[in-house]
Amino acid sequence: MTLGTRRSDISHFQCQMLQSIIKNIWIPMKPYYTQVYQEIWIGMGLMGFIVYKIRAADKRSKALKASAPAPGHH
Amino acid sequence: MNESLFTPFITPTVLGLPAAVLVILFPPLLIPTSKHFINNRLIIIQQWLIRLILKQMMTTHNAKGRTWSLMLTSLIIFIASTNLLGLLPYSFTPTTQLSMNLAMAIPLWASTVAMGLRFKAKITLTHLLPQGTPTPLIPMLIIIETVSLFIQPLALAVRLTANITAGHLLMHLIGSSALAMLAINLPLTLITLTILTLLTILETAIALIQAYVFTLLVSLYLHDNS
Repeated sequence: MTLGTRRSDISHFQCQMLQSIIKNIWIPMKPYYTQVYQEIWIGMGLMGFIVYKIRAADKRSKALKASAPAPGHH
Repeated sequence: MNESLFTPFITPTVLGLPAAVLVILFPPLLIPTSKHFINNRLIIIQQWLIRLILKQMMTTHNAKGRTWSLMLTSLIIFIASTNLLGLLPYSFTPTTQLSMNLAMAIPLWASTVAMGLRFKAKITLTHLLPQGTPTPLIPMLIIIETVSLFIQPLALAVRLTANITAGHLLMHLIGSSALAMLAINLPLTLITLTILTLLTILETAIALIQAYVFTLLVSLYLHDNS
């Protein structure tokens, strides 16, 4: 196989990317993500819950409409 | 005009794959960063602007509120840059989508309420009753204040969505009417184009003002709860 496409190459690049993310993002932002933004994580959880509820309701109503097609309107 | 009025608001797709995340992540790429101590003029202007925004936003906060400086500064720069880029023709503006604005408003508002309940629970609950309320009105007023508390994230999101969407729609309508009238009545077309120019200036101002209002209100909720 050519260089750069072997499975060991791909995981090597993924490790480098992870190291870069840790060095440039996680380490400078760690006090924010772990201490300052604790309540924002709670808010994001609330938002995720609302998104899940809306999508589930949409799926349910679409399944209901598909299974019981309405008669023609007058 | 061969595009309908809905076309600017359709979430972008590239060969059938959703590109909305790429469009949302695009504006920060236009903002240069610098690791040098002494920079060129562009970076210095940018740093001056960020310092101005920071001072204006965070002066009234205590030490706890000031830990949110990064979040609030990023918020206003993101919304302002997204709104301004949306004024370009044929571009997609993420802030016209209610889903995105709710996704910004709900976590920020909920975190201010959670912060208030966590660190100053009694004072946060007393905010539900304004001072000097007559005793018979107390139950009704508590209900009204609770409803107004829960309306806050909806109001934040809908305000931004409605302002930006309405502005874009108006520009589209007046532009297409000017184009349609070009072959019919030239003086009226010139008047319409003047109105369109003034509207574009107004929309630029609204793009910046709405970013400021969004961030200011989040900052206010933070101030009440920290």
